[in-house]
Amino acid sequence: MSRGLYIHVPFCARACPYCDFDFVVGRAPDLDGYLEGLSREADQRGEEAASGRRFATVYVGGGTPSSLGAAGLSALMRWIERRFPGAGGDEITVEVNPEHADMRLLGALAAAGVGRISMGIQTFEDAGLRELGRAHSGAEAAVGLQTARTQGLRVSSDLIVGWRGQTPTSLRDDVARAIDGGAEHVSVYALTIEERSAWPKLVRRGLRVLPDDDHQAELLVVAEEALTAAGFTHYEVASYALGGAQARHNMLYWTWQEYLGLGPSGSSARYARDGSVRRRTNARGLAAWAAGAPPEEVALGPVEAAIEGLWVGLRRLTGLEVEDFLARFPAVDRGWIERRSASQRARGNLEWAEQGRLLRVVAGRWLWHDSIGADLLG
Amino acid sequence: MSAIRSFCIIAHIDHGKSTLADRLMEATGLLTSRDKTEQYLDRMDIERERGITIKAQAVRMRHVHEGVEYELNLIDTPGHVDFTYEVSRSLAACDGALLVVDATQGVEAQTLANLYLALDAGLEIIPVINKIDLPSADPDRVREEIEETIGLDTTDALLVSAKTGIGIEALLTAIIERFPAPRGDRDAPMRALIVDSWWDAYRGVISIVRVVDGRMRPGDRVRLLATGKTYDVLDVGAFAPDALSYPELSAGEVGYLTANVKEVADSKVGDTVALADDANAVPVLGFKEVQPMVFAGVFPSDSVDYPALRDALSKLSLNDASVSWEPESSSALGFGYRLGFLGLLHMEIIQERLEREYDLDIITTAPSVKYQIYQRDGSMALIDNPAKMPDPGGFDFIEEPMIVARIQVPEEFLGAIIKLCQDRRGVQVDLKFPTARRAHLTYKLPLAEIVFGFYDQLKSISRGYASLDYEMAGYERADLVRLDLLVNGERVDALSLITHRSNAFARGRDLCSKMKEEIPPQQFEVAIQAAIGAKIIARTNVKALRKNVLAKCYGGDISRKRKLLEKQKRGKKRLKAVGNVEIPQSAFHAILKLD
Repeated sequence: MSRGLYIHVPFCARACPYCDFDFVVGRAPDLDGYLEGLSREADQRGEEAASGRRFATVYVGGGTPSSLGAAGLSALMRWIERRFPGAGGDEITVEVNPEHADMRLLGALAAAGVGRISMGIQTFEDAGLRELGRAHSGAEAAVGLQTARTQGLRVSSDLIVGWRGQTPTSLRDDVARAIDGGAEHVSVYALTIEERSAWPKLVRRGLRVLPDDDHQAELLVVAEEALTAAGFTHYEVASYALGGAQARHNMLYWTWQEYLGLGPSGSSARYARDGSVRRRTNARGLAAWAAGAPPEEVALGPVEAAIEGLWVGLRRLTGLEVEDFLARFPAVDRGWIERRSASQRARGNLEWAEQGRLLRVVAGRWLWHDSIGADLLG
Repeated sequence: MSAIRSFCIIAHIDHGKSTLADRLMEATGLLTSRDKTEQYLDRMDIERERGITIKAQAVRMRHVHEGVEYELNLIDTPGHVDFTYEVSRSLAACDGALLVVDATQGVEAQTLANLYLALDAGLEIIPVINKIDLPSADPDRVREEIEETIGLDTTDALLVSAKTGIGIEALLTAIIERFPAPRGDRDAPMRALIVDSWWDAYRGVISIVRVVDGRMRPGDRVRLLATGKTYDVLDVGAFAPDALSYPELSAGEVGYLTANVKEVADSKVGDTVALADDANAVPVLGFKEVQPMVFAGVFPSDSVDYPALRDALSKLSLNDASVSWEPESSSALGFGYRLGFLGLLHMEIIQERLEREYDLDIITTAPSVKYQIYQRDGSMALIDNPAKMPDPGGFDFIEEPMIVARIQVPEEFLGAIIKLCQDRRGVQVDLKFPTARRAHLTYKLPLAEIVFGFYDQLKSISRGYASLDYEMAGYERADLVRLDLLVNGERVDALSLITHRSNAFARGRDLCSKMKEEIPPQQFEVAIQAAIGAKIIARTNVKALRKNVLAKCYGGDISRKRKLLEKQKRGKKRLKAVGNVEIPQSAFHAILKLD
């Protein structure tokens, strides 16, 4: 069993119109105040965040971590190393926006021991980037990828599909350019409009449209075809990887491992021996978090946790490993999985594989993963 | 006996019947303004909210007039076409009726049906023009209208305001001076008419009775003539307004009776109470067993509530003997009951009571009437559930129940109403103009046509001015077919309906398009078809849902994602599975909205 550390950096240079994740927009992030806040939280978390605890992976997400700049990110990485010595032995990932992906910043990351960056490219097409309200251009993204390679950083590239005007051809081009740029991992998201984002207002003013489900479905399939044709494995609903390049930190989520999330809206999970889990999500908003607003906590009993675990584990499209699942959730047995998954298997959405070693989503049916999840959770 | 007056109030909804009743009780000292709840007589929540009376009530008031103390019985009668029989029985317990008309509105059509029943029962009528305190009151016009429409002399009409109390004293005097005292023989063998009954958790069945002859005392051994069952009278008395025991009720008096009767079904409206040893007792009035006319399936939304539904129905029928119920099962809706109602309002009331008083979440299927299916061998079967009607060719012919509808309508809407009746397969029987502005239209119509939204359409076409009253008129042969709805080839039994062949295509199309709106996209395409037997007459489909996946899982926030899915799941709890298609509950109601 390994454990991950997630640090939420809540700063963005500007807001993307479709996003409502936790961020503050400002020109000069208060780095010192933020680091103090992290220290305070880590101290309050007690044994969970004890300095002797081993964290195999580190993920710095946001917000826009790269908006901290080279110096800011270096300081953050130093803070992590000081507070959690040895953390990230398996993998350290930092999210970087293409417009920040210059030699200075990427060099600083490499020097600080970061081995992997996740770049929010979204698309290489400038019309699409304008539609999405992004600050960078396609050319900047291409240069950013190249620079990362020269710094020896492994790259994951985010692509968003289903924005107005996107065609299968332009999406295939996005995929090809990301791969040519050296991305060994690609995350593909359908454009999702959060209720509390600016997008619905823009729709009312006639400046944007809501994404079309059929259009998105078509493009999600195009992305899957293009990436698998290029040798990538579709190993998780939204993730594709070459060879062994799976995102190790994210894998912790799908294999019922523990993680500690620090910073505003950071999420944590802790399992007990009986499989019960305590999930915690920090208060949203930098100010609220800094003022010590209480987190949201959810405790699931051994069976409830197993129900959730079944759904979460099936995010891995290579299949949920039954033996590992039963080791994590000793309150249930194989017969329970049989019963719980029966209706979705009957529907042709789930199947047993490798003589029952794996339970997995049938090829192509990941497009209804939420329907499957809702049914398994019910 | 000469000091008793029994009367009722006939009024259109909102014309102030309940307020006037409250005011009379207040003027006679039964209610102080402190303890008056609005609309004292309407005890059930639903009655109060809808301003309709379902159960008859009777209160006894005392009033001294010229040195004599009078006993005034106000009998509150139901006022809806579904309950015509009950109304006629309540009226039989009265000697007079106050016809209350709103001074700002004039005579409304709905009032007339009950007024005619009162006139048929030979009651003395006093016209009362209410709400004269309002600035827009026009009592002269209303007087004229009463004379024109009803032909009632309004010279002595009373002008009152139930709200402010103007004219209440004069009204009490008129009640005493103008209504006749009851007739009857106090020394003859006891006979009493049951006006209504209800079930009380503490006292069992309580019946409102009018004693016609003789005296009724606790300890009497009595027999109910319709059922032949005998009981010992436990208690008699009157409501004033709370129950007050008396040593006896004698001829002419109206009051209550308890006699260890366990079920309302044993103490039916219109039955006669006589002494058990009086073998020659003659019923006060002809007794008629009321028959349910409209039937519908009632199913719990969640199958775990089936026992709760059964309990609720058994409790409810203690109090309402006119509801019939028997178990029914549907492949789409699971286990439930098929209920029989007196009419559509009755059905709505029962539905509401189940939901409100018993806190049940239920699905009601489209109402149906009772059909007579004749087989080729001459035998006949009654069917009240469309799903059970045989396929075409599986029977010789069908007869459906007919009604004679009397519709009162202002002349300007007559054309539209006639068209409505024609469209509903009606045959005109009579058309009269009692006044230049108002038509009395009589139509013979299939009851089934009335059951589907007729009343609503009548109201909307006439902007609320038309009224409907109907009575059963036997069975007639008709070319009827069972229309089925299929989803992905599977019949949804709860959505089958019986329709005239000439309407089947239009209904089928309409049903398919309604279902298309109701059924959410699923993982696969859903074919919706309407069929008569094996023949598909209309079809449409619901496009498949191409995807249902939100890829993002922000920073391991599984709880957030889980909440989103649970929301989806909660939506699904309200879906019913037919084969592998999920149909929302609302679809089962959409069928009611067919034109």
